[in-house]
Amino acid sequence: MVDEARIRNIMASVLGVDSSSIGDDTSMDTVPNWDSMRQMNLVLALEKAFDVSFPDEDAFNATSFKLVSLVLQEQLGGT
Amino acid sequence: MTESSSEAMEVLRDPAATMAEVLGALTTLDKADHTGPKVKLGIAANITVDLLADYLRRHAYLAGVRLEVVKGSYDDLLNNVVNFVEQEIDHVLVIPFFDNLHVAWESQVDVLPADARAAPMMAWLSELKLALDQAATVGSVTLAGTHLWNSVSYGITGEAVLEFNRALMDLANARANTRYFDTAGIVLRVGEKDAFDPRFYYTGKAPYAPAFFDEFARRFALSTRGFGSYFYKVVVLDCDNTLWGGIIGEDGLSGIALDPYDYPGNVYWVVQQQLRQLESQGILLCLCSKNNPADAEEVFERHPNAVLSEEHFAAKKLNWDPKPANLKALAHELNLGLDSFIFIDDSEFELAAVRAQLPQVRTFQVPKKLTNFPGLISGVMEICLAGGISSESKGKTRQYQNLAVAAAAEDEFASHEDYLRSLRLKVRIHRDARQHITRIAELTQKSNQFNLTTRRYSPGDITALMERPDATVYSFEVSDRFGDYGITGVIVLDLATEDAKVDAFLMSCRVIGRGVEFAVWPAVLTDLKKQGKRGLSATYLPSAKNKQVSDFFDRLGLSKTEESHERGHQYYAEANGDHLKESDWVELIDG
Repeated sequence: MVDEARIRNIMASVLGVDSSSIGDDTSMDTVPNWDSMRQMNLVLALEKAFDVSFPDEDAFNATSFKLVSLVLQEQLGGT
Repeated sequence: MTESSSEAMEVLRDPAATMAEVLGALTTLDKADHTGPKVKLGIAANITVDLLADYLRRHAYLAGVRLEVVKGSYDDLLNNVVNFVEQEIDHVLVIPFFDNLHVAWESQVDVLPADARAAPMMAWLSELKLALDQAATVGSVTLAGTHLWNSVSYGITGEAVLEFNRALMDLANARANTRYFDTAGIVLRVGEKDAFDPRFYYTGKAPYAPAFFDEFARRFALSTRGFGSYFYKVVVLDCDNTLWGGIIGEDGLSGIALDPYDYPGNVYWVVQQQLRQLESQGILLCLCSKNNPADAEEVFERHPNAVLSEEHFAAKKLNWDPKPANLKALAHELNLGLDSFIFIDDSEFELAAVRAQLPQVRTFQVPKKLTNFPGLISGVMEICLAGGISSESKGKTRQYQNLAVAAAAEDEFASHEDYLRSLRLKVRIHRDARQHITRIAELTQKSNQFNLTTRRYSPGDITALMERPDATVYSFEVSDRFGDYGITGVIVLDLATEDAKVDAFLMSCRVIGRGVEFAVWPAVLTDLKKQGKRGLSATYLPSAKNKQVSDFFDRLGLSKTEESHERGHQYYAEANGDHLKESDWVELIDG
């Protein structure tokens, strides 16, 4: 299992929100700060933290907590 | 500082901190109180560089500065700069990305005929020129150089980049407040793989990755000397096992290691070369070493491989006294604050003593792994020289040496005044001298002790004041029989009201105590009478460092009219009536 608490913490720092406010339904639509620039920062931060690389399409489209977790899971080779 | 703030600073200091950690630490610090300086920076770029703002803020906090970054709109240079000026921004940073000067520019430059190749670059440069004219009153402007982003072999495209960068340098050199900032070196240091991220360039015009921004911000902080907050002026050196290998008192002249062709002498020899370079750039070198003076001096005078010699040192303390006491004495002799000192020694014991008693001195230890020593000195050079030094600063060692010689000669005269007369002091006073703008601004930035109001002016501020018909910027050049001290004092006078107001009066500490500080005022009063002003009002604003001038205006002969916490000490003199103190041994010349 990918470390979801860690994802939440990173998302919180990059998006400038409280980590407790991040849940399964958190997405670009629910967080006002989450724009395309923050998306880029988020992907770069997650890649560094988990030592993975997001494929192009995923880098632009993983715009919710669920999708981000899913991409990380795939990249880390887990299911 | 609260615990969470110091933890956040720890994170910012850690080079291995991840982006998420850095952003979190910045949020913590933004919420905390900040007592240090606050600086406002505007970025105009033809790409998206949002993340750079966060890394600039990181390195600003490390320099004790709270930085506010205003991001200009995308690729809108001239309008951005106009907005920055309206918002009273302190620094403007212009970042052109070569490949985006025109669509995918890098990929087409080499096939275009010469004039078609030049056109988009010329267009961008003319916009920049207009923007720089608008920014003439901004404190400082930095032009980031360009580089290639696809690693094609250099050739025609590379030539175009170099040509473009040369044009940027020319524009920067022609303006007192503008500097060129190299970025190709950052790409080299970080490596292309970590510097760029094509995913976000092709989708969002954001080519740079965090590693590039972090290094960019680190160098930018260095080149602006911590966003204008500190300066190092003096490097103090131990001798044995610092400037040569071995101990001169035991190993003798032929026994110490300083051979350029042999390890470990070659390491020390390179270090001496680096220090000589540093000295030629205007940094003062001093010795502070536990030796018999004759032993150490013999090395500088007679060792065949010695690079440094007597003339390179502004002052020396070769004795067996504790080093903290010697450093204090050096600061006194040179009239400089200890926070402008760097101290290098091989002994952990000596360094610990200095750190404990004089924490404001920056210390460095000769590395245990000796081959790392030149690298350490490169770092010292970086923090001393980043940001460049105006040519006026070169040859400073000679002036300070004269000061030391003068101090030694002082005892032999019957009266202090006799001695002062023997110096044959001359002061040449200039009004609104544009050729001195850079030096004047530098003085207002650097002078702390003899500074009545501690107002800092940028070259842009000085230019603006000189352009005002109802303000005068005086700069004075001091010389005596020992040498020429260059521009060493500044008065900023506001003539907008019935009484002229002294907005700033400051002098470089190297010429204080000889009456120059009093000699210049008759010229100012004469100007006031000519302009029909009623009188002269002046203010002393106390700071942490300017106590020595707390009674200067009293001594000059002005009457104190008010002393309040908020407004400082207010003074007044009538243009016709009051008689100010004179120093008739100083010859005053109109420049």
